[in-house]
Amino acid sequence: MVPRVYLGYEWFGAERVLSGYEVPQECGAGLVFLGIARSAPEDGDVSELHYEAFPEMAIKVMEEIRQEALRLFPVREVFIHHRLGVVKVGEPSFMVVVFGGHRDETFKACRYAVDEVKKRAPIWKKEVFKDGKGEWVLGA
Amino acid sequence: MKVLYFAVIREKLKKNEEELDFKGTVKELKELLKTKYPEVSELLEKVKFAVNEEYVEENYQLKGDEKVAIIPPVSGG
Repeated sequence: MVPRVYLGYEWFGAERVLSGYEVPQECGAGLVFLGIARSAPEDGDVSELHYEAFPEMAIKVMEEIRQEALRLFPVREVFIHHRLGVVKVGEPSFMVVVFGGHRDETFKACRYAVDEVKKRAPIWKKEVFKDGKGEWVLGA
Repeated sequence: MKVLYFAVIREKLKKNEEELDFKGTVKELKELLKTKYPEVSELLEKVKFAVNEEYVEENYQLKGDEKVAIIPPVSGG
């Protein structure tokens, strides 16, 4: 079974989440958000991202955020997955999947989970450039 | 207590963790680390602290037997 909350070196992908979840009859909306490793001109010549976490705490924070999203918005299910290790530009590193009755609460719950994980989960990315140099991204 | 280092601070200090004999507030621990490791003193102004895997404020009182994580500004996603 695909876990609701996952942090690690594997990547399940949206297809496995979608095919592995039996959507309840009352759900009229399903939403997938993917965070993708990027190389934008302002970032320089990024070739890959290296993700590191304080795993014991990050998984707890991600589970808390899932529970908050389910409590704050009337949605049925929330999946939060985040990858660790090397992620090449163009590959996904982060995924939130939400199922709900209607699109409005589903969009809101997804937005909430994405924003809170980025703000609170002890996860860090290092941009590694084509010349092999690396730089940690200092976020929130 | 055990102090855990991550990401940019782990790399600069070249260690994941260390044992420290310390009692006092989180703010006092931060000052001690700034003196001990001047190379990360600016970064230590931007970090958050977690005790036993929960974020705490700087006035949190440490007894000396905790696991204290130094959390640089997070950048997941």
